Amino acid sequence: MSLSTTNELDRPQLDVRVFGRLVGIVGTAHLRIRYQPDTATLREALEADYPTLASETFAIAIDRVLSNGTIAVARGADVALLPPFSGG
Amino acid sequence: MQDPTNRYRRQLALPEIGPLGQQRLRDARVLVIGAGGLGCPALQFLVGAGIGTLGIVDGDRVSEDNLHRQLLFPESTVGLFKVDAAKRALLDLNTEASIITYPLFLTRHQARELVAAYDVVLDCTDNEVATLLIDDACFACDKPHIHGGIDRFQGQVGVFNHRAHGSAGPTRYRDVFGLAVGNPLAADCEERGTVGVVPGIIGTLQASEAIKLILGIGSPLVGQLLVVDVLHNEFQVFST
Repeated sequence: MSLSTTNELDRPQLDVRVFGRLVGIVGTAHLRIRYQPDTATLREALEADYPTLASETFAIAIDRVLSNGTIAVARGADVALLPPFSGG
Repeated sequence: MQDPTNRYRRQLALPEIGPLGQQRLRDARVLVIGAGGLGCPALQFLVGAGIGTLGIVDGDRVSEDNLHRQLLFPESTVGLFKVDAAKRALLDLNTEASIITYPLFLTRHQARELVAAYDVVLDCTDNEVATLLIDDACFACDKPHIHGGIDRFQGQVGVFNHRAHGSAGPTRYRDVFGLAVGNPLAADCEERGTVGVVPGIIGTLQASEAIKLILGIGSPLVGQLLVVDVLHNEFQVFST
């Protein structure tokens, strides 16, 4: 195993819970993604991995607080991606 | 003439309601927009609780594939306007309720006029365009907007545009998802599956939030979204 691979494995990760129709886009309700320090970079990283997300409307919740602006993400934070639910 | 003391005995026994609260429910005017999976249970519990005036907005007719989740409608109502079938069923439940029907699909033009005539608005629609119309009308008319929505085995409910005591300003539905005014979402025409219990739970919670707002009791989901996952029995509140 190369040193760079070891470093990659050691990089901190974020556990992200995914709701609603976004599950169909990312393919799982529980996602692991490399740590990002705030919600703006987190959104960019998510859209880089899953380009379809760029056209989706969703809020990011950090520790169950929804924000559509940029807020800090602590290591180990509870992250959730929440789209509007429009079915009735 | 019914004996309200007997009919509502189990509600009157609650110190949070009592005779004064029951009178508040009777005096209340609630608008339910959408008489489908969410609207049916919401209407049943609102009329059961003794809400005096209920407005129902829906331009659709009952179809066979509604019956598995819209339990206000018996098979015999297939083909009828939902508002007419709902009114008949609700008056069977409570003859003293005043039911006002609007067999139409909401447009920006009528939304404000309709919303202005009621105290509380339940958004029981099945598309994002209607939800944003309701959000805008509730904001313009300073009325609480109780949103409900479902997606497969999940649902969400929240209370928006409600000025809680001591709060700076109301949170709008648009605020949660960062949607600027004049930037409506595309209509979501994709037909996604669900089981009837999901809108049943969410519509019931919408009715519960309306009752709490009217009575001024408990902790309504003001500026919050309660997300329910029936498949995994998870109830989570997200705040703004």
